[in-house]
Amino acid sequence: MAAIDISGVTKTFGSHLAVDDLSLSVDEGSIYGFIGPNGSGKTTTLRMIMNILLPDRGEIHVLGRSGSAAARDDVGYLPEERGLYRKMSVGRLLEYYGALKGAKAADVEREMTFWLDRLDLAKWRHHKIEALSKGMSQKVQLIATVIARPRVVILDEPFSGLDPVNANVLRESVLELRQRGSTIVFSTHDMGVAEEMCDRIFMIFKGRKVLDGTLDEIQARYGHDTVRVRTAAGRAALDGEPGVEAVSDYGNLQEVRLTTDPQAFLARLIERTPVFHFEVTRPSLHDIFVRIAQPGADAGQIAEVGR
Amino acid sequence: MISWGKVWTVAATEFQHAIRSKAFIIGILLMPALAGLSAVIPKFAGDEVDKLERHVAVVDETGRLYPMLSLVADQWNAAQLNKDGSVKGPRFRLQEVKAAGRQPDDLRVELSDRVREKELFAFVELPKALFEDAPRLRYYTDSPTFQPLPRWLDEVVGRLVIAERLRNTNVDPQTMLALVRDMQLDRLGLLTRAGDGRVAPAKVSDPIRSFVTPMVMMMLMFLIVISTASPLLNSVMEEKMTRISEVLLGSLSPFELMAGKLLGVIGVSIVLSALYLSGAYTFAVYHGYGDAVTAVQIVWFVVYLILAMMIYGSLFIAIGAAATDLKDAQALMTPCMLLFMSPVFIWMPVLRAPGSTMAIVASLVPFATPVLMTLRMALSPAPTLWQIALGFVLTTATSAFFVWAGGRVFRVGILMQGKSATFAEMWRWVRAG
Repeated sequence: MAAIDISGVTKTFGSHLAVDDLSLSVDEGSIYGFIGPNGSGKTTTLRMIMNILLPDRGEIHVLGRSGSAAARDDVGYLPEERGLYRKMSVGRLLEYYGALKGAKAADVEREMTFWLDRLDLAKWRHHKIEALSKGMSQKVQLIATVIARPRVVILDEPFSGLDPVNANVLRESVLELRQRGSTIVFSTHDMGVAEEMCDRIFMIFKGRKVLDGTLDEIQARYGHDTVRVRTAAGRAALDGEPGVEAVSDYGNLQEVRLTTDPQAFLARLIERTPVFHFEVTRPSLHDIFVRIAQPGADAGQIAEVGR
Repeated sequence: MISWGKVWTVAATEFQHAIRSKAFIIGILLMPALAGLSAVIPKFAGDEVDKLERHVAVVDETGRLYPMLSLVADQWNAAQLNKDGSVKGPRFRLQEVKAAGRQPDDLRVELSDRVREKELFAFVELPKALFEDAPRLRYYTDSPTFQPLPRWLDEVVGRLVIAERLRNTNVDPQTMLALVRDMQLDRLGLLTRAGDGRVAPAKVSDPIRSFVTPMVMMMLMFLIVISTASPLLNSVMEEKMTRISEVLLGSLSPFELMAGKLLGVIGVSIVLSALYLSGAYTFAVYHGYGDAVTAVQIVWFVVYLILAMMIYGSLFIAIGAAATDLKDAQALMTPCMLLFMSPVFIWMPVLRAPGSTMAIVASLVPFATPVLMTLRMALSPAPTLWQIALGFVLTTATSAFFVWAGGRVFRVGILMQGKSATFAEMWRWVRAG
């Protein structure tokens, strides 16, 4: 059964079309990544899944239920901008959020103990939220999201603003949630995270679905026209080189989209500079994202291409 | 379908959060303390001010009244001294000033200058026309708010004029004194006839029962509503600005959230009124006024308190949801506060004439009903049953409308960021549903 089933959903705010005829199906037990530029409709879609916003058209079923009978208690939601009562203690806040999900006090207590230990926050249980660091607050927010052991977990930008250590801890927690049987949907701007963690990736651009599939399917669709190179001259080695359509410069490494034969390109490159690394690869999600979300791009045309 | 369990969870949390806050504890102690101080300070301050001596120039154009007036002033001043010689009230030191050929205006300017230089507190003219048909005293001062001196002059000169008139009629001095003697006015309630035919004597009107009790009841209603409902504005705004509301709305509907908040503060207001009323009752019993307020009045007080909380609580919640910063919220609050304050502007005429058409109509306007009906129910004559019933029906209908409309504004406003809504936009949200 699909954990989330979105069918022909449209949402407008005044004259602004935020989501346009969107359809999507998220399998139970999967990790689904939402990507898209700022203002493309990710958060609006997530809010509609949560029944916080109602679609103008179309239907959304979560765990088989829709509308006012939405499965709120079975869905945990971590919004993009965190909301915690600063004056409440960690324990009291988690009890409150658990109770609002209709969870029994004993179950909340068990989950709270588990997650506070798991995220190394047990000693902060009786401290007020205002005493916590940003990283700790985000961990508490994640615990609040999963305190009622939801079947579906929706995370809007869960890793943004975290240092690598805390980001890893949260990433492991998300994977653990999946192991415990939850379906995870999260939005992210970190393409690396999406590539590593998601079973399926969905991209929304200007309110329309432009990508939806596994990483393999998406990369296959965008061909083998990409090489990764590391040379002594760096980015400068590629200047004026014929057949180079676009370059993503990562400093020591450049990802190059070609319109020419990669072997001929390598031969020319060796003549210009020592080459330390050359890899014919499929385009990264980052590259695909950038290709799609170019300024002035037409979401309608991309959606057709992406099908 | 509404989950009342979640509404209850929100209400209980709001309630606990409010009553555990330092502001609540301070508020409980502060309100009676302020009420006490506001009663005590003016008395002490007044006594201190009134211990001053005030020098008054008297221009007696009649040529007859000053000696008597000076004599009465001496008696007054003697009466302002306690047995131990300490001063207990204001004393008036009179000095006669003769025109001595000066023009009246020149004399007035000269005396005015002496008042400005604080040599005199005031000066008074006793014109020749004092014994004619329309007698007028002229009292000049730069301290017009000080009342004891002009009142004393008005009363004393009035009596002296009457005495002088009677003296001219050759009435015997003893008779004259008897004729101008003070009169005592006894204020009484109505008489009732018991079942056995005996007439129960009328009770002497007591200002504590007839004025103080109604005022205390009314002020309690007003202060409890404003002190418990207005924090809702900040609470909703904080949840909106810190995005807590979005987390909450992932768990419950906007109406459930709003209803929970409303129930929470209604609980706080009931606890607060229970504390104040029981404190006031204990105080009243101690001073022999245990029967000043009836159980029926208390029940109506609580009913109207709940309705007022629903009206103003919904209003504050809606504004908190519609505003995106404190400045906008304050601008939106101004007309609402005027609405809330409206009973305060008219309570005095209602107190003086509780059965007047104005009092009846004003107490039936739902925004003012909780405060004014509470006042009227403690006054005599009390409102009739139909007035109480109509007030209840109208206020209940209004509170139901405000909860409904507030819920619609809250649902849209709570997720809006960037720009605060106007009243016109809020009304559109209410209509759009």
